[in-house]
Amino acid sequence: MSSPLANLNPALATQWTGTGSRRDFLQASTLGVGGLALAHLLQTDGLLAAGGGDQQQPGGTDLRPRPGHFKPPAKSVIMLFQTGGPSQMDLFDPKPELQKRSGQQHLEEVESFQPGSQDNTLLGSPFKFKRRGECGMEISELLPNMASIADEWCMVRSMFSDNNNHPQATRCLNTGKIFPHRPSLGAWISYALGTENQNLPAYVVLRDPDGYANGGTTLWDNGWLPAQFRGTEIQSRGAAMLNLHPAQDTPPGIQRNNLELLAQLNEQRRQRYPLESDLLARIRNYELAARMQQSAERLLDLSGETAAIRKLYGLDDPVTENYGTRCLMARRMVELGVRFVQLLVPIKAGGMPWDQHNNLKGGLKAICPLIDKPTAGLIQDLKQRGLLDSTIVMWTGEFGRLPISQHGNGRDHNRHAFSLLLAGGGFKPGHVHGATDEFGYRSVESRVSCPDLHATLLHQLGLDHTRLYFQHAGREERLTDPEVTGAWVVGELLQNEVSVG
Amino acid sequence: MPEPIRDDVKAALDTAHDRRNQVQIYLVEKLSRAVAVSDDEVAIGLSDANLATIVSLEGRIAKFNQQRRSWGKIQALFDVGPPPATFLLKRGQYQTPGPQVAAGFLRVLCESDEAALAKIDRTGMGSSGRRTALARWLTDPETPAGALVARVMVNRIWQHLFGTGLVPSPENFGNGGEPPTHPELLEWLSHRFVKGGWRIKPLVKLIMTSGVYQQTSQVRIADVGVSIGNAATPATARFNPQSKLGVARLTDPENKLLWRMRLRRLEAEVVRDSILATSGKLDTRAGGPPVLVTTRADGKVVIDESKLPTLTSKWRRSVYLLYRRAYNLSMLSVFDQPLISTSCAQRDTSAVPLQSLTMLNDEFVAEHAGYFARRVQKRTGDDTTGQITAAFRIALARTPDNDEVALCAAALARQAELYRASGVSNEKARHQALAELCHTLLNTSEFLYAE
Repeated sequence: MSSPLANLNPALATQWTGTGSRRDFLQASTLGVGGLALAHLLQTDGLLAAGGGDQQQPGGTDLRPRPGHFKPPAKSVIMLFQTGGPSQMDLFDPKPELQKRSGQQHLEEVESFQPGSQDNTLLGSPFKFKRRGECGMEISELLPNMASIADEWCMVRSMFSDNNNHPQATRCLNTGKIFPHRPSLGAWISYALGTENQNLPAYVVLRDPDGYANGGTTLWDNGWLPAQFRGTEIQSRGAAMLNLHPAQDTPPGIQRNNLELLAQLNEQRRQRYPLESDLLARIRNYELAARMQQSAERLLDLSGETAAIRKLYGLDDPVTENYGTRCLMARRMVELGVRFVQLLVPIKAGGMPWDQHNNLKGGLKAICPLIDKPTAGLIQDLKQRGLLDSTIVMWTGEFGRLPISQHGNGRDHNRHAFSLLLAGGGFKPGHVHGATDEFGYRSVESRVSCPDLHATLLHQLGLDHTRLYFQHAGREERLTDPEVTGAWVVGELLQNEVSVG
Repeated sequence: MPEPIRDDVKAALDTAHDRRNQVQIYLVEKLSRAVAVSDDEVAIGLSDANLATIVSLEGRIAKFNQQRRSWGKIQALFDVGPPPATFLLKRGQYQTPGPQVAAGFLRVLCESDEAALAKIDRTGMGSSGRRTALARWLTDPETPAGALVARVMVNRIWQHLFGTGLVPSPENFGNGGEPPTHPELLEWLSHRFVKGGWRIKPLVKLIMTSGVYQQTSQVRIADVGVSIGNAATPATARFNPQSKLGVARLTDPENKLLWRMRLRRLEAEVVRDSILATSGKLDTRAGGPPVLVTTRADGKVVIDESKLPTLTSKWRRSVYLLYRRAYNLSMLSVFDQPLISTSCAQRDTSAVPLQSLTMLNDEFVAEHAGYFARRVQKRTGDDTTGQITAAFRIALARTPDNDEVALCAAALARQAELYRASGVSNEKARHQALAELCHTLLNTSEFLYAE
C-alpha cells in the first residue's frame, strides 16, 4: 500500500499535521460548516472508513480513525504495566552462573540505587526454571499459567533503561525519555491513528480501584499533545467513568428533557454564528456524551460473560479477581475498538508490588499469583476470538533488578537489564530475543532500548516512527527522537521481519 | 592591641568573611573578641541627647515591629555554592559532555560573540549573580533580546485577549514560527509597553478600549449571505460578494485580520468562576492562604473540604486553588487547564464529550445550579416568564427572545410534571424544574463562550 502522503495537497498537509486547528483545516478545505457536519454524518453512518480520503495522514486533532503510513498487522495495544521493576533473574532470565556463585563476592562493581548492597554479594534465585512449550523458553515456577502459554510469547531479555529511579525509568518506558511531561505512548498512538469507536475514549487506563501506582496520573500524560489524547480512567469498580451519571438521582426523563431543551437553545444560538464549527462540535458532543453513558455501562457489565470465561480470567477466585476483572475489561475494550489500553497491577502500600528491596522471595510469591492466571487468560481469550493477531499485548516493568543481594534477601534497581514480554500483533511467538551477561546484570546481546521498543510498536501499528511528528515549540517532536536516541525498528522481533536501517 | 598588627586586623575585619585570606581568617578568629565593643561601653560614651534619640528610635522600632505581619514559609531558590561547570553536550546527550563553556546568552540575540558572554557583577550579591545578569539582559530594550522580550510579552497579552496572538505561534518568533499578522501594530504596542515602564495594566486598557476589541463576534446571515441550514441538513455555504462582510469572509476566511471578534471558549478557571458567579456564591476575597485539593478514591480531584480556612473558601476564585504537579482540579483539567509542572504557551480549547459529561453530571455544577435557581426565585417569585428572563440575564447577560421564553416555559412545565409524578410536592417540583432549567443554561454554548 502506497503512502497517502504522495497524493497530499501541500496546502492541506500544513493544516492537517498538527499546527493548524481542526477549524483551520475545515475552513481551508472550503467545505466550511457543511463539510464538518457532513463528515460527522458520514462517520456516524460508518461511511467514512479508515483509509478513505487521500487528504488523511497519521496525526490529527480529533479522535476519528485515520490510516497509518502503511498497512499494519495490529490495530490496538494492551499494555500490562508492572510498576516497580520485576526481577528478571527470578522470572524470565535464568542464570546458572549466578546460582553457582550465590553468596560469593561479585567481581564486577555494580551500579546500585539505595544503600544495602555494599557487600556486593551475589544472590542466586530461590526459584526454579523449566523449559516450556514447544519453543523451550525458560520461565520461572512463579508464573505457571504464563509459562503454559510460552509458545505465544515473544520474550526480550535484553531491555535496558536510561535511569535507575522509578519515576524517571517509568517515563523512559512510557514516553521514551526520562524527563517529565512528554506525551505517553498511548497518547502518541491515539494522536496518530484516532480510534475506531467514537463512543469510547481512544486511550483507556484501568488502574487498581484501590489507588494509584507510583507516578499517579502522569503515566498517561498527553504532554503537549492535545488534551483529548490523554488516557481516560475507566473504573473497574463503581461508576465506570467520572461524571458518567448525574450526581443525584433524578426521575426518569429529566435529563433527556434537559438535553432536548439544550439542543434547541444551542441550535438557535448557532444560527448567529454560521462560521463557527466549534459550536457544532459542542452540540455533537452532548449527543456523544449520551451515547458514551450507554457504551461505558456495557463495558462494565460483565454479566454476559460465560462462567468458563470468568474462570479463565480468575474472576471466580478472590486472589485473581482484582486483576482479572481489568484483564477481561481490556479484552472487551479492544473488541469494541479502543486503541490503547493501559492496565496497572494491583497495588499495595507504596504502589509498587514488584519493588523487592527486601524479602525478594516473599514479595514475589505475593504478587505473582495475583497476575499470573489473568494474564494467561487474556492471551488465550484474545486468541480464541481471533483478536490476538490484531492486538499487541505487552507485559513489562520499568527496569530490572540487580544480581547482588540487598539487605541479605532483596534486590536493588537495575537500569542495565530487564525482561519484557510481547504477544500477538505480529510479534514472533515462542521467541527469545537478546541476552544478558552471565549474572543478568547487563544486557549484552541485541540490546533493546525503550525508544527501540517504541519504534517497533509503532511499526506494528503501521506507523513509521521517523515520520510521526507533532509540531511543538518550533520543533518537529517525535516519540522516538531517532537522531538523538538512535531508535530503530527491531526487525528480529517480528513475524514478518523487516530490514530497517 | 600591639601597634604593628592594628592595620592588618582592621583590614581583616573590613573584609567580607568569604573573601578573607588565611592570615585574615586567623586574625579575626583570634582577635575579633578583643576589639568588639559592647552596647554598654557605647552607652557610656554617649551624650544625653543621643541617648534620648536612641530611646525614641527604639520605641518607634518596637511600634513598627508590632505592625509586622507573618506570612509563613516562602519557597525560594538561592545559590548553595559556586555554580557547577557547564559543558557543551554533544548531540544534546548529557552522557557525552564536550568542552566546558562559560555563562552566556543566546548568540543569535547578541550583536557579537563578545556581547554573548554574560557580564556578571557579583558585588554585594552573595550569589553567583547569573540570574541578575540574565534578567538585566532580557529587559534591556537597547539589545535585540530586550526588544524580543517586549514583543513576546505584548503578543501573549494580545493572545490572552483575542484567543490568538498577533504572532500565532507565541513560543516561536523564529523562522519555524508564523509571521505576525499585524507587524506594525506589534511594534507600536511593544514600544508603548517599554516606554510605559513594562506595565501590563495600561497596555490591557489600551487594547480593551480599542475598536477592534469591542467588535461583535456575531455574524448576521444576511451580512455574509451564507445559508447554514440546520445541524441535521447543513447546506453548502454561499457568500454574498456584494456585502462588506461577505467580502471579508471570502478574502480572509480564517479571520486572521480580525474583521470580527473571535468567538472564544472560556478558560477552565473562568468556566468554574462563572458558575460560582452565576449561583451567587463566588467568594471574591483577595489574598490569603490557598485552598487545597485532594484526590478522591474514584480518581476525581476535588477541593479538600477538611482543610478549608473558612466555610466559603471552597467557592473562592480558581486562582486561589493550590496545584501540585499533575493534580489539577478535575473540573479544571477537563477544560484544558494545563499541568503546572510543564510550560504551556497556548492552552487547548478542546470540545470533548468529557466536558459535556462534567457540565451535565458533576456534583459541583448540579449544586450551583440549585443555588442559581434559588437566586432566581428570590428575585422573581413564581412568575414563569419572570423566572426565565431573570435566569437568562444572570447566566447569559441578556434577555431571552420570545422563542426562547416559549421553549423554556414548556420545559419548565414538563420537568415540573415529571417531578410531581415522582411524588414530590408541587412547590418542590416547581423549584426542581427551575433548577433543571438553570442547569441547562449553564450547559449552553453561550455560557461557555465569550461572544
